Amino acid sequence: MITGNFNVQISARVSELHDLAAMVEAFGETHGLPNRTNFIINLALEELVTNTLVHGIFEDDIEPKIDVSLSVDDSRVTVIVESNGGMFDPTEHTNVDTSSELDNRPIGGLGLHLIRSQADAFSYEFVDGINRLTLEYNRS
Amino acid sequence: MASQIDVLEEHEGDVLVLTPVGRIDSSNAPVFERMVKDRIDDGETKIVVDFTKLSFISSSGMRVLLIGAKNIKSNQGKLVLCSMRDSIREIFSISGFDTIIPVVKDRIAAIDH
Repeated sequence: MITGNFNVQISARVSELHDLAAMVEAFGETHGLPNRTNFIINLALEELVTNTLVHGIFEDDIEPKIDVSLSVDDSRVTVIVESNGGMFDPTEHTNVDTSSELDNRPIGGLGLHLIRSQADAFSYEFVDGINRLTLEYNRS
Repeated sequence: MASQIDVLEEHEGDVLVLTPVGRIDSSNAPVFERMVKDRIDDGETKIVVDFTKLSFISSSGMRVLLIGAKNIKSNQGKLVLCSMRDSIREIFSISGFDTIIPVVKDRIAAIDH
């Protein structure tokens, strides 16, 4: 089994999402990851970049930055996403209404629910002003 | 500045079929949202979104469909989704969206819905 890792830093702009998606797909192809896994990782990254832009608080001279790290071994794929912009604890924002009728269904709050539902492990810490979210996906 | 999205538009009888191409994410969801809103405002009451050419959608894109379903329902119309690949179908199931917006196998079933 091929193992490997991948690191990239992006400025948190939605315009960079397409490039990031292409990099993740290339990584997945190199390491034989199923299409579903590539999709789930790309979805998580898209949601997290968007969250950083929406919820992040940036002083005038600070640019949004997101570090993305992917690593793969025999049993799992690990995705670590580090972002600035002030503390944002996604474990506090995962309750979402998935059962109301159409007229009453709230719009929004879905991205983190999807990330948490699809990850096999999910942890968050805030260290030295950086949000670090670790997501793990089993390979089986 | 929102990115663009290519959307094929076809009429099959009184049904408008929209086929977005590629990705719908937070960079281009506002463009797609405007398009869906314009078509509903123009009086379309039966809209099918065909996912055949869509490889990726995020919650930003799903939100557009939820808003569209609500708006078209208020005009006594209906929005139906079809031809999703498995990974997209999965997130519509996790979100419970498939219980409030019809998701069917293919375009024929969507038009007949």
